[in-house]
Amino acid sequence: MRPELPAVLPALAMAAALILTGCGAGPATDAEVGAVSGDNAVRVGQCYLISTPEEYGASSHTGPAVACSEPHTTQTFLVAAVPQPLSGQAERPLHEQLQNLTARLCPATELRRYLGGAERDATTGMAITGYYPTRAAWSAGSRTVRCDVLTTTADLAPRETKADLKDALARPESAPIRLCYTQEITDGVLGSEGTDTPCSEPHTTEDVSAWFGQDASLVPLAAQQERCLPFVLDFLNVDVLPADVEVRPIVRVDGGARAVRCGVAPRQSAGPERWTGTLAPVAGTVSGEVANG
Amino acid sequence: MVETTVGKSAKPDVEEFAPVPVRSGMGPRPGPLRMAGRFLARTFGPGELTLGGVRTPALVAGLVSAIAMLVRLFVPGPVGVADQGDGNGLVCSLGVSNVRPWDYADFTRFIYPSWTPHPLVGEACGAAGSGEPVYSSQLAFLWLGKLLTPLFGWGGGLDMRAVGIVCCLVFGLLIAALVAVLPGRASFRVLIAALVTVVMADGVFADFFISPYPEPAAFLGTLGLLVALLNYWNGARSRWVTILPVVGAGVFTIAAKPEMVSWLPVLALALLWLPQGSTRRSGRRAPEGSRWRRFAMPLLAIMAIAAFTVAFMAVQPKRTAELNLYNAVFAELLPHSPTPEEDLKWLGLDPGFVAASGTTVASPRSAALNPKFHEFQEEMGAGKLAGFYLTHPERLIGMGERGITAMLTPELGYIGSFMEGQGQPFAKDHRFPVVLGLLTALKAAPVALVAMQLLTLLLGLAVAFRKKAAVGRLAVVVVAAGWLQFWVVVLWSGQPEIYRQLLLSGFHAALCVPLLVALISILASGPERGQQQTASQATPGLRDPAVSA
Repeated sequence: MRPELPAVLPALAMAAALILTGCGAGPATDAEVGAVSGDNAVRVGQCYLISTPEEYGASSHTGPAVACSEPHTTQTFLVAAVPQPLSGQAERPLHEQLQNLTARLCPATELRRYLGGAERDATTGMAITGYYPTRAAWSAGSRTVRCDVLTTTADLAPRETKADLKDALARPESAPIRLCYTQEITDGVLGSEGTDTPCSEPHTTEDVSAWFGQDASLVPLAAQQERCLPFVLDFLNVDVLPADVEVRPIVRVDGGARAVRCGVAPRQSAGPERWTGTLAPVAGTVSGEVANG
Repeated sequence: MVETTVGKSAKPDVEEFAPVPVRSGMGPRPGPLRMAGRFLARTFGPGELTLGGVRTPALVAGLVSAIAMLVRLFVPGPVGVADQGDGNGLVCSLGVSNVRPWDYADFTRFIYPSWTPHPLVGEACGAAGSGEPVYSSQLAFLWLGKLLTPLFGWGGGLDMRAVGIVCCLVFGLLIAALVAVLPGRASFRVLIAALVTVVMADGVFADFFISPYPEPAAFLGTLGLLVALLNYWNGARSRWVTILPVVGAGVFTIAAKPEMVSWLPVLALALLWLPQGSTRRSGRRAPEGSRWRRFAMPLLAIMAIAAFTVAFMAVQPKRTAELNLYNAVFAELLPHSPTPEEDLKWLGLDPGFVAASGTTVASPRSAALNPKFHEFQEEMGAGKLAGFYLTHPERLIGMGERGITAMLTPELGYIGSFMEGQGQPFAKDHRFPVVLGLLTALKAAPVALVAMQLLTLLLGLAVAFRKKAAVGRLAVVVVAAGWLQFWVVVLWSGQPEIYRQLLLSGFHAALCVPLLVALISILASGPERGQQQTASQATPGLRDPAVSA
């Protein structure tokens, strides 16, 4: 039997959940979200420098906070409380029980809200983890959960940043944390599959956080575009698709299952080319003609 | 029965009817096989079982074995055992953090021996999942390795290659000590030491020298304990002088990892098996009071080791005990049970837990995610598990079979042996696969492994009681310790890492090979000659029994 995987994986899986709107765990209740313990050391918006898998995967983190203008790797986006029945245990629950709880208490939807994103905004290079009281603090009565977002590189290692992630998706320079895809371009024809890329890097399509399984009716590109159109409009915050933009879905094959991921790209009359930036409208506006970021 | 009298003057009437064996090898011109046998016996036979007096061969053997291990580990490139992520629990206490890829699938493919200074605070340092401190005598090697690391230009932290060098040097010292305390001629001692080196040099054991695991302390501690016990039983010096190394080596070995607690009862029996000199030196029966007094020091030593063991087990991470208990039920007991629901009922657990059969605590179907998991935590314990197997002894048969199969599969294919760029991902080191080959061959008939251990045990008893040689006792101890280790692992901490956990049992089994060679050589060396002698006691010029046989 293969030995158990380290605790990092569930959190990485949650990172994937960020991409898939509506596929995350159920949101925390208002009581849970609103609960902030009397522990003054834990506050939303605090930044930390976590650089090893052991620090990231631990049940608790007791390292000092750093100024968010200084290099950091995580930022607290939510403070919640452990619900019943686990909160009633005299001893802190097992690490795996806490990890499972993180998926519920620190949902991707809450992170998106903290980032200032809308339902159609997809992110990349982020992972969620939850930090619980130490065993001693638990025994003393603390039940606070610190939900942190970790900024990562393509190989999932921590990426240091000096940026404050609060409302980051609502800013013009949001491209580095937005999810885009890079497709093969062969003889002026785009490949159907794409690899994940931050929108600040050259790419071919920007994700609009909507996907569905590909059945026989969704093999033609036109059918895919038609199905994706409402999501693209939602993403662009418009009622009619602008003339200079096209719906550009990609196909993702995962474990034998084929899924269509909806995307958008500038219409390119000279044939498909890679572009940089995002088509997402800056908060309060509709889609701009040029890519932001 | 016709008695042959070759070499003696026989009566003519007997000679007329006595058949002369055509290929008896006893004629005036011995065959090549017998000549080879005589040559080997003359060269490597133990001769008189004298002690001491081989300082130079001991030093040379130690030096050569250390160099051989270094070459085996570092040429053409270093080989080790990749970390699965739990190495940090032990090593981080030295204020270092591993330089390796972030993702599990990446860092298990190769070894990443470099650990840089990076003090981890809180639960990031300690047992994975709880941060409780992890203790092991391996920390001594790690600490020495940390001292050596800058000298080799491997940075200011800790490099496991330096720990590998420390382990090789310690192994050389132990081999030198082994040659010094073995009985017989120097060539015989060197042969046995060489065979022990061959066992240790196999990649399934030696590669752990360059790893963050506690296994090197267990391997080397075991060897050190065997040397100390030989020295104790030789009885050539004052009892205190020989008991103290046994206590030291025993404590070091047991402190290597919790499973080594299996050594405690064996060690107690070994210490109470008093040296020959203390029971027969005078040749007269000792007075009753004096006889009991002889047990005072061994009993004191046993109490010291037992007290340490209790203290050591008390500071083991609670998390480890929780995981072992989980795995013993959900990864071992239930998946191999014909009636898992009934077993759960016997254990006083909800039948719904059967859904978690075959899982680890981190699995998506883990019982830890069951709302009634607190019942498991409250109801289950090591005592109840022991009670289950006592009332269901038939389950031990299948468990033993699985354990033996795992022991005969000592290669950990799910973690790599080479540094990145020096081998394929997950590639294993096959530079010296002698034990691997032996154990793999035994897979065809696993009963042969048990037979080999039984043979070692019986020959050990024969040598211990007929030849009065300490090597016989050693064989008995090695087999008993191996078996105890085996059952401790399969009953308590086997799954899901049963292959790695049973390496120590495999090591004990592999040590049966050099022991068998030693035992057979001693038994074949001639008739019983009473107890072994020290060099000063041996009569110079005695005929070599190995040759005369």
